Amino acid sequence: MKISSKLMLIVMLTIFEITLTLFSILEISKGAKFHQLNSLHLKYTVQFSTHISKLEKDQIEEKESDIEQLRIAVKNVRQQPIECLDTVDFVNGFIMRQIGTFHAVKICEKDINDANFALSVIDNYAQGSIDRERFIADLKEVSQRFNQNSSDFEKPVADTVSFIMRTMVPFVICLSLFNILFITYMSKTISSSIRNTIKLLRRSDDTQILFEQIEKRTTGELKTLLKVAKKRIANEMLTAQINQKLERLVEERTTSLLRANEELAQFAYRASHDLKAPLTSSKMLTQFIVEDIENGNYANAIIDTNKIHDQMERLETLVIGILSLTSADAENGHFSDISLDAIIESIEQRLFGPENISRGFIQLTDATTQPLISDEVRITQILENLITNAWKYRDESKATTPYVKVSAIELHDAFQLSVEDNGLGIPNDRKDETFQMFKRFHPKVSSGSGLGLAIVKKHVDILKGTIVVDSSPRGTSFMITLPKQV
Amino acid sequence: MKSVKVLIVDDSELDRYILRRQLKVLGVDKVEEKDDGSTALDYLRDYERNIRLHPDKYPPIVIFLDINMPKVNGFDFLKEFAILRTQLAILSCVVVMYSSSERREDKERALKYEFVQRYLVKGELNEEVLDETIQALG
Repeated sequence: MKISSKLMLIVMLTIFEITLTLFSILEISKGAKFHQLNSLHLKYTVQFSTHISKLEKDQIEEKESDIEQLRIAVKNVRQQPIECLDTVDFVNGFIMRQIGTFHAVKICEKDINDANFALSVIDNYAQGSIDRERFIADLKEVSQRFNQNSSDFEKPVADTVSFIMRTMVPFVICLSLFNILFITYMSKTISSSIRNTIKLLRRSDDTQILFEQIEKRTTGELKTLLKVAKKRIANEMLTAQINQKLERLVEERTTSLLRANEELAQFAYRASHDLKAPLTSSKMLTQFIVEDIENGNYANAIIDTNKIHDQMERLETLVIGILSLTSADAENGHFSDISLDAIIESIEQRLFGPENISRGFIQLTDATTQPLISDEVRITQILENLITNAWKYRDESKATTPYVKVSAIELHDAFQLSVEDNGLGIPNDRKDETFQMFKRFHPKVSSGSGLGLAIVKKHVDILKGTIVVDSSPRGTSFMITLPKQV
Repeated sequence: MKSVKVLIVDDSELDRYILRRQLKVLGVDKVEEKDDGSTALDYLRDYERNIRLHPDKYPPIVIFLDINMPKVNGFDFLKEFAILRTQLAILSCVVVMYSSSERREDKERALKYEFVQRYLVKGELNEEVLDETIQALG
């Protein structure tokens, strides 16, 4: 049951109780009024009979004024039953009929009739229709009837009042008690349903269970309240979640921007260092060469000239590296079927020249059945850099002849390319620098641009793939996973 | 002045060659070369052996130190050397930075050590500057 209906019921009951109480008071006061009228009636009857006694004693012809006084006395007597009848309403009549006191009303009517008869007697005497003896006798008769009526009237009225007292008072008391109990019960149920709801919410149940419990165990306005609150809170939580997400996104973007900035600064620093170094050295060397030539020290001049040549080659490699690194970023790839055989063959040609092609350094195993669809330029650069590294940093001191094994396998939704060598490996303490720019791990063996693996990583990133490296003094293996193009 | 003992720490063989040759012109020929911070630190630490093996070069009076080196770079070297020089009682040994970096922060960072006496930039280094440096420190 709704709380509002319960409250409405309480109000209705209270109104009913008040109405009944007022009604009882009204009825009891009516009884008092009847008693009062009756005593007035008696008083006027006494006056009336006094008049009659006087007439009887005087034995003289009455004056007009005496007659008139008599009339007034009768009318006074008649006034009380008239008022009585006016006071009695339908409900009173009904109750009196039920408890057998309705003859009180009849007595009133009779009293009025008696009074009217007395008036007609007076009129008749005044017109001389009846003699004085008859006149007095009739009036006496009427006076007696008035007395009789008064005493008859007393009992039914008293009975009615006492009936009302006997029935209504206990009834009102019972109703009040019931009302108190009922209101107490209702407020208990209201407060207990609120308490239960609070208890329900306090319990640290799972949200879903809580919602189920709310659905099952609450009713009416509380249910509506919880539903509305739930909706509101859910909305706010959603907003909070969205805000949190946005904040996180902003944070992530900021971090990645900062990282990109840092990378760029690092790149500029290293690039300018590595570009400048061969130039400054070469400048110095030219000075030495001039001195050597002047001193006739030609052998040394030739050595230094070769050093300049090496520096220029180094610079060239670096510039090419930087260019391919920037183009790796910029180029928008063209995807096509890729033949690993053809790529490896072209790399072999460039690395060893046509005369040394059969040395078997590069070993290819292609286990794919579907054609590998990717960006041929990027795949070529990736493989070329990895294979060139394997060749540059091969380990001639090992028992097995140097090799690099390139293999391709097919997974459910990706291709895996692996490039594995038995070369020098990456120093254990510098593995985290593997894909960083301008990092050279064996400068004594061969000094490249330090960009090769950074370029590889960039290509793999742009192809949305991953690359992992595993290296030890036994050799190095790279595992590249490229998602299949749909 | 001619007896200045020098240690060059630089990963670039060419830069070491250039510096060595410039020093030779100035008459400084007691020069030891190390290609990386860690080998240089090892060389300095092994006091007893090196003083016996290279009495003419060890311990160095001036160390020419590059910044950009793999593994132990110039700054890592300075941090270690600050401790080492008091342990070995080679407090007269000073460091001259010899780098291609012209960055202010690199320069300030290096010169914070009181034993770092000069900051020379590769390529800008001519014989007069080098001579003045050796004269002052040697």
